[in-house]
Amino acid sequence: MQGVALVLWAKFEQFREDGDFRSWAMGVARYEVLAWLRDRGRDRLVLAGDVAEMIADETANDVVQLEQQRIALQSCLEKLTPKNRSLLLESYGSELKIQEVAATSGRSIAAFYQWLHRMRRLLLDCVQHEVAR
Amino acid sequence: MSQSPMSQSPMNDLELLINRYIDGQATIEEMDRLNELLRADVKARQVFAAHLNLDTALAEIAAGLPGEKAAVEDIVSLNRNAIYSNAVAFSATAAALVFAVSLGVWWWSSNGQPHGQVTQAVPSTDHLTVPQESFAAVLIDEAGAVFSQGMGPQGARFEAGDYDLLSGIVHLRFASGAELVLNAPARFTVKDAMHAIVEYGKMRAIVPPSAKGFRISTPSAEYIDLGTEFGLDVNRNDGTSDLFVFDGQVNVADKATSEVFEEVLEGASTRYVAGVAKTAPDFDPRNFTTPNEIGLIRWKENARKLLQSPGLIAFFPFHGTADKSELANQVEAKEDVAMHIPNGRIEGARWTSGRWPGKDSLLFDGDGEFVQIDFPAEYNELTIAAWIKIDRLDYEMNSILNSDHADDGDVHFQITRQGLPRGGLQGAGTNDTFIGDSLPLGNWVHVAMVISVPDRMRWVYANGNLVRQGSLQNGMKITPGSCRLGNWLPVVGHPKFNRAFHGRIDELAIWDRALLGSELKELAQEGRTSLR
Repeated sequence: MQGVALVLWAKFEQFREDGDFRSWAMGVARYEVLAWLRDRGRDRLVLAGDVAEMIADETANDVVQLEQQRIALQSCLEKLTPKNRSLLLESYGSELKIQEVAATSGRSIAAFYQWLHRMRRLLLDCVQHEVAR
Repeated sequence: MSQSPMSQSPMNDLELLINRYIDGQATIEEMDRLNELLRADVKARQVFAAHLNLDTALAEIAAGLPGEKAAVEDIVSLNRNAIYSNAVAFSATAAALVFAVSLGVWWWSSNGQPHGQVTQAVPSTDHLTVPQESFAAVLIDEAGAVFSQGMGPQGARFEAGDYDLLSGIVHLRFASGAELVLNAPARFTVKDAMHAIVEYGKMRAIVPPSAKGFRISTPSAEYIDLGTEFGLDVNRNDGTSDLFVFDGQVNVADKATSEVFEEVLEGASTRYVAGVAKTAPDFDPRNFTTPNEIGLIRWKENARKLLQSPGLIAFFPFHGTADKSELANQVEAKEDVAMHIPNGRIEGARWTSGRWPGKDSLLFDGDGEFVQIDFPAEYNELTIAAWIKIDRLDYEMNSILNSDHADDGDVHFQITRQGLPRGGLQGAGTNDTFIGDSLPLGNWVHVAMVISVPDRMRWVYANGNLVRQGSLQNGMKITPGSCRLGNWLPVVGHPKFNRAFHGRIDELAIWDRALLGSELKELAQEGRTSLR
């Protein structure tokens, strides 16, 4: 079993050879690092290696589309209220613990995660809509 | 607006697992389920990729710069961490296997049943895509079913093997088309699509022509069905087998030689003990649960559970009481009685049958019919969920539950002529960013409207799937006040004054919090008429 990050780092050379340095896969690996930095000390569970491999292989063909979605995300973020936007980005930042972000929002941890899930769905819907038009 | 299929639910099981994975919150069991889901379905992997893509981007924006440098510096640590995590994951997988629920884990309900002695969860129908040839029978419906450990189905699949139903009721359909409704306690063996052995238990068998010749063996005899419906009660202590033929013909035969002892016809009963005919019991078909009755039994259990749901402020089960004009709210008043939603008052709507025989609903047939429901409090969040069966959509707007008139803070939960459900908070603007499928006519459907003022959002769900999403432009309290279920008291002179709902409503539940899509999906699955 291997994590997404390990699988993607293993494929890193391949992506670089294609000149696709800022590829999505690279981003995923980077995310795993950032997430790890954020959750330093927590034992994160990882995806099964065969599953991670499948995802890495399948998305290698979707790099352009995924990059478009990342670009569209900027305008989708602008559609959020300033309060929601800053709260969301705070929860992704490494400065504050998620408990602290939840506390500043006046929500319980569980409620904050629920809110976070909704914001992600909202953004995904928006991104898909933006890319489709 | 983009039209999206109903399957794009915002927070189904898969997405909840993905989110929990991303948040580092997923348990070992949840990771197993997530891996299974992803392994099985390319669409699931696409959803996962979209989520991870979003998260990568958000993390990058939050970090203010691409993280390559940090990534390279920390890759050694990451490797070490990942290897450690893998060791944890591996031992966890081994532990999960000890609990013997390795296949079909993702069929178990989203409320995270422990894997010990397992309550049979509700497999959602859209997951029933396993190859048909791999099992002899499939679970169609159940109510409170509990199997002993290691002697239950794999998800919804009954493969050839032994089963021990400790409590509850299950409805199985064999690959031949034969159906069995079994009441606990029951111990039985599925041999193949045409043969079951019953050690003890009570069951109703419904055998269509396609399964003519379907056999049930008991300790006392063999029962060969010739296309019919019958009840069989096999005594746990001595194997005494009582047969009641409701329709058609059943042959009772010797287990060893298959010699036919007796041909039993409609309306007759027999008793056999160890291959010997005894005095037949009185014919009484009522002792055997029908497939339809399971739904009602399940509903009664779920209604009890629903009453414990956090934030529930009203639950109208739609059971006709002595006072035919009263719609009872089963949630009891808390400390502040003045803030409690009182019983509804029925005006014109008539009591009729609901989702199952024995369950009531209200029929809204004319234009002046409604149930008066008052909301005395103000809310920051509100979820309104109902089971409805639409007969016709006669007007531009057809009201499910509408505040009187249209004042700021009012709620309007209605269906357009095209069958698209809408939910709105008066004065907060309409800004729909997603509109999904329309509601079916003539079928029971679970509809829910969710408003969250803190999140400035509103959602509408049909059968637990998101069908509309929009934002609120203004923050305000939700003050539904005086409302009509199935109608609207219009603003004087309003062009769309008639909004009478035409159809049936069977259940209404209201929470002062915003339920998640996953919770609504569970409610929709629990209250469905059957798995079919």
